[in-house]
Amino acid sequence: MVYEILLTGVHFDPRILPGRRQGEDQSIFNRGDPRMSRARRIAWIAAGGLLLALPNAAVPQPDARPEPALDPAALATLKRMSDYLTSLASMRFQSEVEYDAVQADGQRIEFGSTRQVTVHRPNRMRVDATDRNGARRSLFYDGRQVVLLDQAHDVYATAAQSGDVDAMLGYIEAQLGLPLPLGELLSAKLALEIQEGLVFAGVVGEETIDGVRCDHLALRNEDRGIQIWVEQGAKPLPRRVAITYEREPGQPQFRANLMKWDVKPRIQDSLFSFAPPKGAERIAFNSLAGLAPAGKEAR
Amino acid sequence: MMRNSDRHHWLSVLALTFAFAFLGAEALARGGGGGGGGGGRGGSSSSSFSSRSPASSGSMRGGGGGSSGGGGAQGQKGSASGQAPGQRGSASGQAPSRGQQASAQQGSTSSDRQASAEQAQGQRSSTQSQRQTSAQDTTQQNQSQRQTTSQENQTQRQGTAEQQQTARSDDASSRQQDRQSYGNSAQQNYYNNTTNTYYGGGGYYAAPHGTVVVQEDNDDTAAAMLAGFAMGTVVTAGAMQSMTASNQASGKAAACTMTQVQVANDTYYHCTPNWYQKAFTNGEVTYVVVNPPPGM
Repeated sequence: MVYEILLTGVHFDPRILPGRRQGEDQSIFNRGDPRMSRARRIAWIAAGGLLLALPNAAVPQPDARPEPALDPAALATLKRMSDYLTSLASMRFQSEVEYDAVQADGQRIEFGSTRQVTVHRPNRMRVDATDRNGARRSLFYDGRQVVLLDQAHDVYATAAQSGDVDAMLGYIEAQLGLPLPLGELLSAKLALEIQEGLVFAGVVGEETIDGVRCDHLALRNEDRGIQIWVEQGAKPLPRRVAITYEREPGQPQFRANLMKWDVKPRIQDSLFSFAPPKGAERIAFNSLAGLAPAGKEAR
Repeated sequence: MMRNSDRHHWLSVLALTFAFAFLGAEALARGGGGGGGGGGRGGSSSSSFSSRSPASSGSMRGGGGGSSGGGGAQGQKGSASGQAPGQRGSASGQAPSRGQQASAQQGSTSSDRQASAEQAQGQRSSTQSQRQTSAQDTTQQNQSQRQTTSQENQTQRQGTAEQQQTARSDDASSRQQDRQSYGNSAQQNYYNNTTNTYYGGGGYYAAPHGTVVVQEDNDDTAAAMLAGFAMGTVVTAGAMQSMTASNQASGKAAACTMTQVQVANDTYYHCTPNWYQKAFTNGEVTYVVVNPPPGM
């Protein structure tokens, strides 16, 4: 227990999971006991110093984690969010995305973008992304083809694809190497996507994101730690997501605030249709299937 | 008997001493490490930070590295489309042969150079024999003294010519070895460097398996570019721009001059000795090494 407090700042005690009620001051994520005496606190810090000074052999390895524990309250909140999102025929939101890129010398450098995401089920989607350096890219899907437009380089590529949004997301990720950040949130199988492989789910507590009261959930699967802030009330929308890639060198993190949600957007179908900008060059997708000639569509 | 609070107090002091000693040692160690890190960065492109990261995917699914949810996720989706696994295997099988192709190409160039050197030597020998015959004819018509002198001169010339020939041959051979050695070294460095930037087989880089990605402009990649990249090599737009345009700030010369060729609906880019086509690789604009367009 001491190891966990000192090394992760989180105190996990599985015994308090059953019957724990949300909102009570029994969070498994301990921020420190205000009643702790000064002497005891110093003693704890000092003991921590001693433990840190010990060789690495004394430090528990990442494998020494608690048994898989899924807090029913956390899973219930996840399900509410999933059910709500998948029930929406259309949605539009903006995400402020940032992520760490670990450099060769170990320094973590932050990059980011603003994304406008519009989905109209079953088979329409558009994403407009503007990187912090000003580069702009757009993804169009109209149920017949996927188009990626890079306005900075004035190029675009098309790939024939049909099916629903899930099929398209799977295709662009697996075949074109083009994962859509937080694409799982747009999936009709959201609950399955998130809950698959979870080894831990807990409620950290209640917090406010962009003025909205949220339940802060902590999840873990095989190789990443996920935190989701879900809006409380009738619209359980995800308001913030943070993902830590724990097995990657430097443990980079992805963070996104999801804002300006519109769950009944007025959308014209032309939003999803692509018309090449004048003078833009058509190029190929360098896909797993190889380099498709620019004049032909990747499959 | 020591009071409980006193015992806590002394335990705290003792432990804090250890803690500070530990932190001090850590700080020293980090100081040393930091210097090393700085040196490391100096070796690469100094002004650019890589934005490549598995975290850029924002994927929540676990299992394997990076965005694609690892090999599992890709495999699953690939199976559904009935394409990915076979294609990946096939691409994987191609990659080494592309590397071998590059090596063979390099070997072939060396052989050509050697053959050319031998041919030049043969021509020099032949010319020398002609000169020798001609000198002999002349001496037969002259006095014996002049004949003797001529023969002596001839012997001297022949000796000098043979020495020069040997020297030239050694020099050519040495230069050839140097070139080959430098080429191999640059190619090796380039592959060593690019290996660090390749993420495949379940990683987030989903270009054809075995793909070499060049994203830095440095001496090794520029030398490798001049020698010729293997087919399928991916060069980021940034690296290509830096290597093909003379860099005013650093005073570096361009590795080659890029020309654009339109063939039917396709645009090719030629930067001797390679041909490229622009393509999105993992959503990023890149130049991919391709076969020359028909008729080129």
